[in-house]
Amino acid sequence: MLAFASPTFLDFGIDRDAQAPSHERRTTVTPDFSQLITDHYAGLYRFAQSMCRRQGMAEDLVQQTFLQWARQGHTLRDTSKAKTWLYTTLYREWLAIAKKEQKHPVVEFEPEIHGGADEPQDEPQVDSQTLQAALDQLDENYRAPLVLFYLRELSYKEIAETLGTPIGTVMSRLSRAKDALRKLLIQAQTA
Amino acid sequence: MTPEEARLELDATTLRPNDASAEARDKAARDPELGAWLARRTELDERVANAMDDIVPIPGDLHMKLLAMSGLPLPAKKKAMPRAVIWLAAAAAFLLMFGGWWWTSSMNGQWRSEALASVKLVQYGMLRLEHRAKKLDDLMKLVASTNTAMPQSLPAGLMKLATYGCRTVQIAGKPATIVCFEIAPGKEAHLVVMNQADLASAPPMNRPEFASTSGWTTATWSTGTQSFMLATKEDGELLKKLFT
Repeated sequence: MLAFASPTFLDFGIDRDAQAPSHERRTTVTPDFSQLITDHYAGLYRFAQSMCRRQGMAEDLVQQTFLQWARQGHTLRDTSKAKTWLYTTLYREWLAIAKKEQKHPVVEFEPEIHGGADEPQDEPQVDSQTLQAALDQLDENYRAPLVLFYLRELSYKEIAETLGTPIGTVMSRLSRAKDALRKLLIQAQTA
Repeated sequence: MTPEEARLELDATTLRPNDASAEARDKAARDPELGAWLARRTELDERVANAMDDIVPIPGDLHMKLLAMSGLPLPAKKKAMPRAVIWLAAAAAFLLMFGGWWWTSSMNGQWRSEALASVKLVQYGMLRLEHRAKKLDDLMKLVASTNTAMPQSLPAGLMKLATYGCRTVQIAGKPATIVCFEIAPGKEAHLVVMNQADLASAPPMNRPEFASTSGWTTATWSTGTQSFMLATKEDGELLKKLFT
């Protein structure tokens, strides 16, 4: 079960300075809560499930994310960033849990472990079971951006914002993670 | 933009090509090798993205559960506060945070904070009751055939209260049950029931420890093989009277 993380005022869009010039405020109409849920719950759940791999916990993470929105969403200055805010909040909630469970070691990608730069020419078959197994083999530092990328909900810049990682790092992690995933899929196919 | 920079950017935008800069797209258009690589990469990414939808099925009732949350009252947007008030609020927030930390630390174990977090989810309607009955005896009969852990012994004051229902949860990775009582007309108190052996630091035997945090009052104690937390947002005195 989730512990409530301390309120997280994210770095973007929170209305800390109500005197900000009007041209800096882009969208200020608070999105309809029900609509926000309908639009984003599936993507958020898929992201949560891909990270924690437990249905109950994934549901809790999504619920907790929307609960945070109910409490803090009205302070978001640029409400066009609501989606990124939701994904960021969920990711931070997950990190807090992972830290408690010590299941989130920082492991840098090792090309010699995950495969070299030689690219097999044949493209792998993709089925859901093999894909799940391949994703599970990836380190969380690579799985998180990769899952967000394949959900197609966020741009790579928004993924960087969500994960609190520099854009260049996200781009290079995405590229390496895709290479690794492709190799794992090919390995599974030939096994 | 170097060819490698273009390749990274194109790779990060295969599924959202409009996010790629004109310069990167131009390079892909002019370089046949890069263009062919991008086409292969995009084709595989499309297939993986489509398969992603299948590997994580969405629970059928999740949407409805979440929509039930939208009935929660949202706080109204407040007007800007004077700077002095903001500083005072910041100082108060610090004191509250420190107080919260002290409270959490002094509780000797994370299960209490997780238990209270679960109680909050029930109180705010985030977690629905699995079984409903107005009396504890009826509730116990309802769950008799399940694995739901129910209290084996409770203070007399608590036994007399009407119940709303109960549900099972996981607290600190261990099974627990939350039983909701009516502590006063229309007012709730939530009892968390855990196996004492699951707790690294169980509360004292047959003696409630009271604590207050963030508007909640809790009592924790152990009896027999079970440990309990009773929590309410209502007047803490109501809770204390249950043990007299």
